[in-house]
Amino acid sequence: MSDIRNRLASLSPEKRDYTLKHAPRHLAKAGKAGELYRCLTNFDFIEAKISAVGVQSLVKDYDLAFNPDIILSDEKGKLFRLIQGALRLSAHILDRDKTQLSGQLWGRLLSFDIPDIQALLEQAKQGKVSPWLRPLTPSLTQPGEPLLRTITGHADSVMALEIVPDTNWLISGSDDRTLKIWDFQTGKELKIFTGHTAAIRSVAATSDGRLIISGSKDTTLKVWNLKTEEEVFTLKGHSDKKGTFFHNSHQSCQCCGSSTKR
Amino acid sequence: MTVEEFVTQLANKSENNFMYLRYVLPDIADGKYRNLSIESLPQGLQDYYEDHWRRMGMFDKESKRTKIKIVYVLAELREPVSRELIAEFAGEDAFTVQEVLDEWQQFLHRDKFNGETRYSVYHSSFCDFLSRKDIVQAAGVTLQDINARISDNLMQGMFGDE
Repeated sequence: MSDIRNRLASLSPEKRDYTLKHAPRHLAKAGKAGELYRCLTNFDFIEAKISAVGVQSLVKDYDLAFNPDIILSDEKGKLFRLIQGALRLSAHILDRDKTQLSGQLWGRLLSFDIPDIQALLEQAKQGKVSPWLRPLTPSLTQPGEPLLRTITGHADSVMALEIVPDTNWLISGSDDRTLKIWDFQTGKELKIFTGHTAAIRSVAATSDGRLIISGSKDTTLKVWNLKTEEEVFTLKGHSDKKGTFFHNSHQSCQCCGSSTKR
Repeated sequence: MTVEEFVTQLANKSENNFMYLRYVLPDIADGKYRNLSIESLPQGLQDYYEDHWRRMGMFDKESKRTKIKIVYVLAELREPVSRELIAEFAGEDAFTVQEVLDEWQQFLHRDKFNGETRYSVYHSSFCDFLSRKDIVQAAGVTLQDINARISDNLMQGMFGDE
């Protein structure tokens, strides 16, 4: 075990947790750019933090370097973005299996010929005691490419998407008969709506972000209250499966309202 | 003074801030304002904090340097922590920390975690008060230094003296 792992292991659980969660924030508020850099480019810290509090809170730590009180060279700033990007791309894998960290970093960062990146990968290699598959070529999506993040969680095809206006919320409708609400910035699943008895084919949100409407192959439309997570009402009447309905946020709501009166 | 007048005046004094009442009502019940008319109650929450700050003698920064530091460490914490960890961050003994925890108890929140008490600032308005320019200046600290103190301790725990 490395010295840092040993030291972390010897701390009280309270202090270890506090360190992993909050050291970067305190360093940033203290204006200690060098130490912040040291922390967030250290494989042992990265690994311990992911295992204690998950990937997303670590991904956010790299943003601390871009607050105006922190003076980091362009070169180091770029390197921060690379590591952050690699972790964000790996998040859905690491959420399920934290031992994939070394392989993920190798597969995504190997091609960057920057001494501190190579040092990080070397640390990652040395940290491995059990057998692992080490990519020899940069075989995974690299940071800096168009793909930023993969979100997983549906058990079947995703057929419909909608972003709730003025929020980070993404609604997805799937063949698994559920609707899910995600924070697309963090990849976190926020809510799940169940009730449809067949695949969901289309979703829409009202412009005030209060209601969402889903259309399903079960021949119903359902209107949901996003806040209370309740099904507001179900609209029946179609005899064939729903395709996509046209909407212009507000209008679609009015359209639903009038159907209920019928 | 009628009850109604009292309530109206107190509402004015509170500047419609619930936190003000949370602090002042127990104080009145404890008799802290026994010899005072309602006019002399602090005006608003910030004034209330300043009053307490004065009563604790914190403007006398030379003799209170240690306590000031501990209060600021509490304000900069990111989550509730034990007395022992506060003492480590502040570089003071647990006894001194306990004194501060007692003197400032109405501004603190206590959590039980695995049978151990952890402390945090009850309401962010207290942190706002502490980060006010005039108060920071009067206290003779900088928020940057307080964070440096905490982060030095954390980095030492992780990286040692390498």
